[in-house]
Amino acid sequence: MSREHDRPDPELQDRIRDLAPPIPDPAYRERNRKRFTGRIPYEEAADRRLEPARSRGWLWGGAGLAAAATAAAAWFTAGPAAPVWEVWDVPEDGTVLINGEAVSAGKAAGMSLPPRARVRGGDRGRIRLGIPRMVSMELAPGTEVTLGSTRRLLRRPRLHAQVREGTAWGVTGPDFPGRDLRLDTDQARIHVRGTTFAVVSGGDTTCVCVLNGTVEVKCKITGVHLRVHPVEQLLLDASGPERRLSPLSPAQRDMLADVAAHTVF
Amino acid sequence: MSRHNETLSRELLSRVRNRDAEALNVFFDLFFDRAYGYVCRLIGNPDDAEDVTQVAFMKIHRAVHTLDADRNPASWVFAVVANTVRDYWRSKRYRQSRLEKPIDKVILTSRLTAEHDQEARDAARILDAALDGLSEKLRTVVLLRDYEDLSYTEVAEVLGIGEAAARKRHSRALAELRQALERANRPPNVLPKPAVMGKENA
Repeated sequence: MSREHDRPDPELQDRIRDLAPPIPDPAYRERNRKRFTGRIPYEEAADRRLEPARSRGWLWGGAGLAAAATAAAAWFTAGPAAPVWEVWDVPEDGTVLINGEAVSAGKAAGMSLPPRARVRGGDRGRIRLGIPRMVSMELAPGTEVTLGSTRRLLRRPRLHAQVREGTAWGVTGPDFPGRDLRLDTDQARIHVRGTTFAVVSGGDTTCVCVLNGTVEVKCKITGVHLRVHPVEQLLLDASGPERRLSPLSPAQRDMLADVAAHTVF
Repeated sequence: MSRHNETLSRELLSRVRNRDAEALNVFFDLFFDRAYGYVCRLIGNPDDAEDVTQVAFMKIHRAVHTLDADRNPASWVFAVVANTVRDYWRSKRYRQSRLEKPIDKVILTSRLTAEHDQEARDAARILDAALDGLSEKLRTVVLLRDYEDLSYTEVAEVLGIGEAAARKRHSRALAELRQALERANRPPNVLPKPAVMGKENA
């Protein structure tokens, strides 16, 4: 039977069909277009807003017990305090922006950074940040990072850094083994476990370069996990990381080797 | 005549599956406004409709590699959208929004602009109210079949029910809608003046 003839109440059905379609706000539509075409990632928490509500009455008792057990475990197993990031090198007569405030080289050197500090290098050269004997990170001029570390129950604190628009070169130190450093860009989540590496974050792309050791990368757009092995680089963009592994160029290799050579913990 | 007579070639759907940015853009243009319009009509609240549509498209984006290039993508898209709306109806947020404020249908009918005369606007408002009075199940089926112009087979696919059940549900929805419209168009009864209590005893 054709669709036109398969209509039990044509007059009413025509009226429904002719209802004016609600038009979405253009800015909202464009924002979604960018997300859908992979130019910006979807927020991971977006779908949690619509999680179905469940009857949670019976959960309260369990939650109370779990909270008590967690508090007891934390009491007995509280590990060392979360390590603190410091500013190590700032070019002479240069400045560094810490949480939006310009700090001169003289004042910044050796400064301990507050939790979740937002640091941006000035225009006069690279700056170096780090945690003694654990990790050192050099930032190209204009690169912005947000640094932190999180205490975890029964495990060592996790170090993390968010890299925005720029290049960061990193080297891990003698006390790093067993630690976990997580780097985030708009496109990727990078787990570092003992290595010399670089992360280049641009508007729509992230490039992860590894000189030695291994880095695990999760693409935030497609959810694909990949490993980047020594002397390899991985490029991520809107189309995902598949088949984008390639060898490091000699220039990249030299630059990472140079960073590793002059880093002193 | 269908409002949605756009078709996507098999080649384009394959590119969508492979997350080709240009193909995703075309796919987005074909379905985003349609999905938003459907969600908006279904749940009535434009703010929540924005969130629901966004979440639905995030799910579509995540699962786009599973899209079957040999089938009509509309039924797949609307299946994801309908599931997301179902999640919304079960969510705490929906319950709260029902308690906090009545759904604002004025926003939808106000989109009928100056080109529509007052009579058409009133008729649309009455139809909107009648649709809103249907249960969520019946409203869903009537919007999929008549507003989105999906076939019974596609409606059945979207709702995960048999075609016969989809036809039956649709026919019940139309009957209820027709009754609601007749009630709305009936002139109001002139009620007899109420007797003053206790007057007989005076």
